[in-house]
Amino acid sequence: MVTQAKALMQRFVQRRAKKGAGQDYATSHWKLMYRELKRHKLARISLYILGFFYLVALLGGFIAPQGLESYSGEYMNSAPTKLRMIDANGKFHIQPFVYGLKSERDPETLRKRFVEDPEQLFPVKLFVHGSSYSFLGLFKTDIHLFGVDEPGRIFLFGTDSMGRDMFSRVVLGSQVSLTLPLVGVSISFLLGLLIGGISGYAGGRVDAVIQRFIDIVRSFPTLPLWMALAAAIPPRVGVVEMFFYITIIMAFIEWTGLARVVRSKFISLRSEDYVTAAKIAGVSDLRIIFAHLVPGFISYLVVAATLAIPGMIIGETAMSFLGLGIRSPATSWGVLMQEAQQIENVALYPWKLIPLLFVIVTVLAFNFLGDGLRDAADPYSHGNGAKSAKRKGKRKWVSLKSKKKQLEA
Amino acid sequence: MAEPLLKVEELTKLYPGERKDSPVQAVGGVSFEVQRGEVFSIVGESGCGKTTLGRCIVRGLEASSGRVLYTSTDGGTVDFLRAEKRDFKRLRKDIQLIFQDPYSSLNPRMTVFDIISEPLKANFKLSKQELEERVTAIAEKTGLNPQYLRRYPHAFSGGQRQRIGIARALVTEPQLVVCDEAVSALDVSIQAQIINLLKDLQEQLKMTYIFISHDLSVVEHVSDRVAVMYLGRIVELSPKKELFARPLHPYTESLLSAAPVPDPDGKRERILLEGEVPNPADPPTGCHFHPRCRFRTSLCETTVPELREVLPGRMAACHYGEELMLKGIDKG
Repeated sequence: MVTQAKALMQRFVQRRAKKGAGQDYATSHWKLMYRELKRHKLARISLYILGFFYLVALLGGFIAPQGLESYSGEYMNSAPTKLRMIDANGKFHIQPFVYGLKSERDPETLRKRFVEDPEQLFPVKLFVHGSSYSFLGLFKTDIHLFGVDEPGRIFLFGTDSMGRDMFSRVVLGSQVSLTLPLVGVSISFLLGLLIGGISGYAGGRVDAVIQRFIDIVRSFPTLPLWMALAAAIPPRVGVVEMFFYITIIMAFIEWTGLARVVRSKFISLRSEDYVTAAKIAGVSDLRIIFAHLVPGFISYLVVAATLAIPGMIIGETAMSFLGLGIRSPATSWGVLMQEAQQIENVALYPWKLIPLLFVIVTVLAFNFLGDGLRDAADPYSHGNGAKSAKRKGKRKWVSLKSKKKQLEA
Repeated sequence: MAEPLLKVEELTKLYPGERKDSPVQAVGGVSFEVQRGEVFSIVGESGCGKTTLGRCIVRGLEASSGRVLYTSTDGGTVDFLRAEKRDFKRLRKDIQLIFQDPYSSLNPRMTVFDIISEPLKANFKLSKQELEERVTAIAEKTGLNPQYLRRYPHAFSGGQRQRIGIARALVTEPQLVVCDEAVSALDVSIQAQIINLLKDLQEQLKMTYIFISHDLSVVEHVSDRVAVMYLGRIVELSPKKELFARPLHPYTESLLSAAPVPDPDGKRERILLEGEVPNPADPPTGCHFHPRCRFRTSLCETTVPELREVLPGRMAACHYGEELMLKGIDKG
């Protein structure tokens, strides 16, 4: 046992030696940033959440039990189906199941409602056949992650007024709501980098003209602008085209912020001593821009872009909510919220507000991620890097000691 | 006398002032010559234009007017400020600058190797191995451990960073190096190391220095000739020994009297200047120094004194350079 502990110890010491204290000084900025980010708890959790959301969006057709067009007229405004493991007789089932639904009238309000029918029991099955969809756009299939046999129904988040499964709609809506901001931010990222770069590098009159133009764009009240631009979109366009129109409308407003960031960074970095040094050394303008200026602010730009995404999500939601964006049967979280805007929904069918929850969580996650990235990108915070590395080392030692004790015992 | 390495003629740098018609004259028509192999110092208080002058010479800043005639090793003389693109590309590497601040002058996102090799990449076509060799060689010469070249600047102390800056400036084997307050950001013990390093390297690589400093003790230690600047102009230009023994310009005298003496018993008459440095956007008439001068006459208020040879080899811009018996620093 003791020899085992010794071997363990030795291996550990070797690993530390291989990593070497000096190695820490040769870590690149991106690596340092990644390490800092990993240490930021909220940002890390946000990253996992967002990763999960995007995975679900990517596999949307597979995960959603229903397609966009499917609806079941007899199950309108049904409450979320409860997944059960124990049946009415107290018997435990390994496989979760749902009860069948039967409709009845509320004796007081005479409102139609659905109650569970303990007579009918449908086990939830994996990889069932359902409506057909195209998997990742590669091939057509009708296999869904989960479902129940006919005539059973499973509505994890309930149904809407047309009897469509809310869970499926949230999943499929995320495909629009989560990708649109990314495309939009990429477009504004390019525009911002280009126009902001020209503005910062050229300076003088060009700079003044571009900046006043940005002032004008930014001073537009966004809502009327959206309405005007949305009105310009032909009424009968396909889902994909609509998606791009909206993206462009969003990017048209968003790029100004990023252009400002780029310009200010260009100006502040241009007068840095190390840029002058490169100039004196005979380095070409183009190389100065790409070797000294751009790496100096690209991390800030990534942060700015991340923080711009929530604004875009909210924007898309707002546009769809106003009926200016994506239109049914295509869906997005904004469309879902639009459908939930009547007061009766809030009072009687609260599950219709579930999409709101997803918007909030996503926006928060992007904000926290942006915060984490900003802290990580700040080169002055890396000063603590060595310290916390030491702390980590210590913790390892403690665990090693306890391991050793365990082995000896 | 042989052709000087560098001949600066009427170099002027103007900055736009508060009003369009009155630009600020940071450097006002400065002329001097630098001989091959010497250490030429420029001293003066903060804001007198010495850094601007240095930056203009290396073209870190574009001068407003004037010429910087550089005689390269092959004997040709070119105006460095207006050289043709091809000539400039060839000569660029001959005139380099060492920065004052060892923190802001190194890109925090580049490894030390990348920083030092950058001038080489920009000026020569070298193979990877040659690049490696030359960077390692200069690192060793400047006292940097070649093992540390893959690290980033944040891992180094101020003194080490300044060595990196020196290595970067010297890696192209320049003829002329402008040391812009190269040691003033360092503490005294490190200053001595770096100055000795610079002197050693000068001998090894046969370079010429223009040494810009406000620290008289450093200047006294390294220079051959010293130019004293006041409000964008040279007021005195003399060989070091003579300048320190007997200054010819009242401003030099007061500057010397302000230098601390290492002897605790040594008492000296301090010459305290009255008033403030005038606003360079609105300089006084006549001699720029006259409002603060002990010896001023009506002539000083009206006529600008030319920088002229007052004593053999010694230039001063004072109407009374010959007559005034000014005090220098006695070496007890």
